[in-house]
Amino acid sequence: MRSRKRSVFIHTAAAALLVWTIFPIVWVGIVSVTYHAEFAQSHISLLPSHPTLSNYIRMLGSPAAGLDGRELSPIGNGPLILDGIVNSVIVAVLTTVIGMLVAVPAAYALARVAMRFRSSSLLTIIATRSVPPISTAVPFFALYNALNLTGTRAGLVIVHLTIVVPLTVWVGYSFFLNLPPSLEQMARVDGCSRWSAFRRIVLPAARPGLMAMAVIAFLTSWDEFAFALIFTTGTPTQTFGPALSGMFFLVSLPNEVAAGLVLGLLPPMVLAIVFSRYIRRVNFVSV
Amino acid sequence: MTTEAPPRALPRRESRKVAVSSSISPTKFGLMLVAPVAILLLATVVYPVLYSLYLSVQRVDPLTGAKSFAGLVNYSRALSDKATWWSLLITVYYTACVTLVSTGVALGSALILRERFRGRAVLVALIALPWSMSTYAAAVLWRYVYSPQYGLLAGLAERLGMDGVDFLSKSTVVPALAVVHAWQFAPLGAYFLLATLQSVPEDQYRLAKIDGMGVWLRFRHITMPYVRLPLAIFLVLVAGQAATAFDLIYFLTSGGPGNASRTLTFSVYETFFQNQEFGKGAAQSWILLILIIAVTSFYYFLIVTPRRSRGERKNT
Repeated sequence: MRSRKRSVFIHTAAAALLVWTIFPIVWVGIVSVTYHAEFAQSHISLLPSHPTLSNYIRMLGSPAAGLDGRELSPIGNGPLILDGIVNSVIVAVLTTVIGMLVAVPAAYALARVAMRFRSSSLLTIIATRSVPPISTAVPFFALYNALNLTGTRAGLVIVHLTIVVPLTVWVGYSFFLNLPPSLEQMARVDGCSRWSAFRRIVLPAARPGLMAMAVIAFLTSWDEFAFALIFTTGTPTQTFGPALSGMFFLVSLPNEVAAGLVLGLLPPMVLAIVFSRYIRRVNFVSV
Repeated sequence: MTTEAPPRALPRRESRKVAVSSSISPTKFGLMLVAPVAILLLATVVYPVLYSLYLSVQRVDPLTGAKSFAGLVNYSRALSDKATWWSLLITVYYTACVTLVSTGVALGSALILRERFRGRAVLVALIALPWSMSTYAAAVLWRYVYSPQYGLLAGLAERLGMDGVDFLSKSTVVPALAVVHAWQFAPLGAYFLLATLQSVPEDQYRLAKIDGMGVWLRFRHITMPYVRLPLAIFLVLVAGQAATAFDLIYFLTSGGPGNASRTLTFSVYETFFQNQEFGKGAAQSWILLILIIAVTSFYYFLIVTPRRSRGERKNT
């Protein structure tokens, strides 16, 4: 009797957690497949009677039929949203590649090389994470105006690296720390140099950790908004965040914004689901 | 340096490091690998922070951009400005709300996910979705939940015959924002805590039950001691995140209504990028930075100190 009550309670709680987690996402999905004509009625329709992909089709630049059969023109902000997604991908990929090249050797050294200044280096790198981005935005703004880096991809990649590198060093550090202790020693006995032991033995063994680092680097760059807003708004290199912001704050229809939002949610979500088993192993505790 | 002690003779932590001979010393090799990060961070974090310190003691002409030394004028202007103190208050209030809600949701989720039920694996994967999402995307998403015109909550209230509530009105805006923040950030904490909870031996609960301990006592005396450390780390991560939140506030309220959600971060943004008051903005950002440093020092004190006393010290 008691255990039955307990089971009912647990299932109810789990259902509540499910609802809390996915309802906002599902709702935006629903709004994005509703015609504006149906949506903008006196009451709020929770489920569309005529679900449609027309918002997406018009976002991608083609006209589509409306609810009453008349043709609706493509969404004006569509090209900006699509360019924004492309720019976000480019910036995030560049940030990931450069960030990995820099962060992986450092994380390895901090975790597994018996060097002096080890703890202090690690602490300094992690401490830079506590600098609020908004306080570095001011100087970067001045510097970028002087160097003509405002509105360039390189400029945005550099500021993203300042956020991504400390984070990935931290993540990578905990992964390298938990590799079997004798790994390099065996390699060294077999005649590998320090560098080739790292490259040929340690890196392949640390693959799950490297995957986690790369995914986190990509997501962090994709998710960054303040710098992207300050440095790329209104330029050809504008990323998805500012593009969405531009559309959101204009007088635009909720259904169309929803379609743009869903398009921009897809890349990070797919990535997070595909690589979730790596992400879940990230452990910030082992500092 | 050419001989190597048998690994077993070394303490566990020591043996994990490469200590065998090579043409270069381990410190040199290590520093070589760390150097790119050091250079990058020196250029991109240390320089801007110092430049912002410099800017905070300058008077900047907004038209010509000419600078002259102003001493602490910007600080005294920022500190005598009631708006700065209001923003500080809102920042603390917001941080407290986010911490409370996030911790509650994270701990609650972890306790649920530890149990056995159908679809558990799917739910564990699904809660990663809000976390993977950009904060600004989460903000826009929740616009569709809160909006009195087209929001999910308003729609549900309508179905139930109730009057809609504007959650982003003056009196409720900060907790409402905190809920969104928690929705996005709590899954990370849930994963943290779940990993720890799964390491608690089931027998302890069984024995406690036999001894007649209730749910609350079992939570306090068995669960709590295990999750204390990960919970502390999560608390500090959340606090740091909340104190510097920008995207969420920008999209959902832009500091409003009025100045009801104008946190210090948002205030810095406005002072600098909208009012172009460079000196004052830099001074404000330093006040924020000092606040964050205080929190972070507490963090090191909490996390690093016990480790060091366990013998890490000798490595440095």
